[in-house]
Amino acid sequence: MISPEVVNFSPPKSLQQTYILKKEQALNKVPSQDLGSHFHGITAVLPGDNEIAEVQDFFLDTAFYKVNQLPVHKLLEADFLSAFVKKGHFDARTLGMWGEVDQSVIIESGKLCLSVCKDTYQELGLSGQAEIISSKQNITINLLDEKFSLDSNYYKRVIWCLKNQTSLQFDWIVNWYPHDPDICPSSLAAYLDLLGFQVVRCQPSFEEKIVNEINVPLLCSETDISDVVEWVGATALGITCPEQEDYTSSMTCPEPNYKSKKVHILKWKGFFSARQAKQLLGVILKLQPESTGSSVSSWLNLTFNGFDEFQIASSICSVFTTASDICHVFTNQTSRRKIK
Amino acid sequence: MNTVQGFCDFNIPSQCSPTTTLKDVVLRAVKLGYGAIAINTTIDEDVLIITKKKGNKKNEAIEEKKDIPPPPKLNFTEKDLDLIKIHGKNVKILHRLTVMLSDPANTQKLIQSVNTKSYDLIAVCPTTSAAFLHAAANMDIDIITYHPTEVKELRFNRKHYRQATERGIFFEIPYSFMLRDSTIRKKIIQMSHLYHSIGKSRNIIISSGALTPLELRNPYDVANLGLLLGLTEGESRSALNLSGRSVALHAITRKTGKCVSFIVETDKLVPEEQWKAKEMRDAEERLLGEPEPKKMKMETAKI
Repeated sequence: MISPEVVNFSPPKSLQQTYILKKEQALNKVPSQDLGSHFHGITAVLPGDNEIAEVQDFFLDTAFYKVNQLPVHKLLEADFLSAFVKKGHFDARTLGMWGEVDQSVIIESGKLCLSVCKDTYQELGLSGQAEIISSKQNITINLLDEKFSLDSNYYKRVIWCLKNQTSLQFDWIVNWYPHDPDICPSSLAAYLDLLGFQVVRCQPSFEEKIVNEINVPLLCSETDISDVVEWVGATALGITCPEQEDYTSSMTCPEPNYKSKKVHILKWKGFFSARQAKQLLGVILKLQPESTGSSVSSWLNLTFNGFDEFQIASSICSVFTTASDICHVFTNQTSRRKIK
Repeated sequence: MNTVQGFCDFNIPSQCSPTTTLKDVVLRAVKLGYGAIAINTTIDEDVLIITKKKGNKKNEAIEEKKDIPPPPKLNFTEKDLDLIKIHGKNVKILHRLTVMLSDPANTQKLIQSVNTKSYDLIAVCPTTSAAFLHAAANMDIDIITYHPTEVKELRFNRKHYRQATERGIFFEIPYSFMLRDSTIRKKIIQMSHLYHSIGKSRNIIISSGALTPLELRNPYDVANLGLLLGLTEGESRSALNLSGRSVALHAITRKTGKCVSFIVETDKLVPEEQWKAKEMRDAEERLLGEPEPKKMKMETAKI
């Protein structure tokens, strides 16, 4: 207590977890509440000679929309709720936010999550909870709840409270998938355009790369998954890992490893909902990893990057599928404990 | 009431380096993500000393000249900065007055001056222990700051530190000095460790004091620097964020007194709050049956 610690700093607090799951469990686990249901980037690292045409074209037809200067209460109006939120998967989030200081709004799986600063919270008059990580307040409203029906007093109150707050006006990215396949998802953009907001159509960016003759780590019981995740990240960014420690870099390929002839690296960037992530994971889980001849299992990897709102720890979920029925899942997220 | 939001840098000297302009420094701070910036005017102690010699008109002339200067006029507005801000609601610019103080007896003029009241924040840089104790215990200020070259040695104990924190005074650590010279860097680290060992690093704010745009750092980098200054991870981030808000609120209470509500004319409400006046009129109509013009309205304070 007398003199502070100035040499051995502890790293920023983040929560790292590894699980071993069965394949069906992994499919349900990935878009979980902890990780958030929106992803900013998806990377697939696929060693071996697989048939990956389906994976390559997966996000070819998808699009999301950027809406400028849209107030929150427009998304809660009766027309919008009945036409879009209740008739499809509606995902939206505010853009360019720093989780610690900025107000933000996220709509996922029928829930509206407002994260507002103290001043706005006191003016709003809606009840919420204090956020653990920052000094803000969280207000969650379930839009699909029966209590939130259009003629209820609760709905009128929420609309009245949000309508007058000019500070709750943001730039958004939105995404909508109707339950009814006959309706075009772009009708959301048409509706918002009709209201007079500027709507821009965006497509996920896609990048593909093939790396030949490279050492690929294997998953055995002693392997530290976080090392393999680090290797996957380095490879996806085009960093080569030498076999022995170098003067400039101590990064090596984790043991045990094998020489793979071909590694496919696919990268997407954009706005992906949990539903899309789950579908892509389903496709990857069906693929078979390359056989190495040894008893130690090879893998295929799919990594999801969440939106980096808290700049201290990035949220990552990395899934390794093996030839057997087992998946290794690694997650890293902002610590849910109070930071002293 | 318009309070500060986001990361704060409450020490941008108005007299910046001759190679650059104040506007450049402020623009860079806004681009880095600061939401509240204070333009700092530092005055020496001799401005406060009242020397009276009877019959000597020369001295009187000098005395008039040495009044506390009014806040500097800026060639940019908050609206200009809003255009380039990278996040948050809006950018807030405050004016801050810093007084170098060695003798506690010289504070009378500071309180009496009209120009003092036009500053938002008032800070004191005590150069002696006596001045430090007076500032911590009696003076009506927001920030006690530290200048590594002007201050020789400060002695204070836990009781004095607690007196200051209980009165809502914050201790400032300027980091740009640490970029200039290694001996000064040692002094700053030593001082901040003193705050840690005596006061458990309560009520600390970290600010820049940057003379050039290059001396400014990203708020998250500054928060990491806080680890070196004896703050924990959470403390160093709140030293930039929450503590800044507390300082700004403390400065408002210095002007208004401690209050739970205050009164604003409906015509003078900011555009974001105009709806309150409208709601008041609607409520009145519902209650009385007929409209009746009313000029004043109550607004709850958010302290």
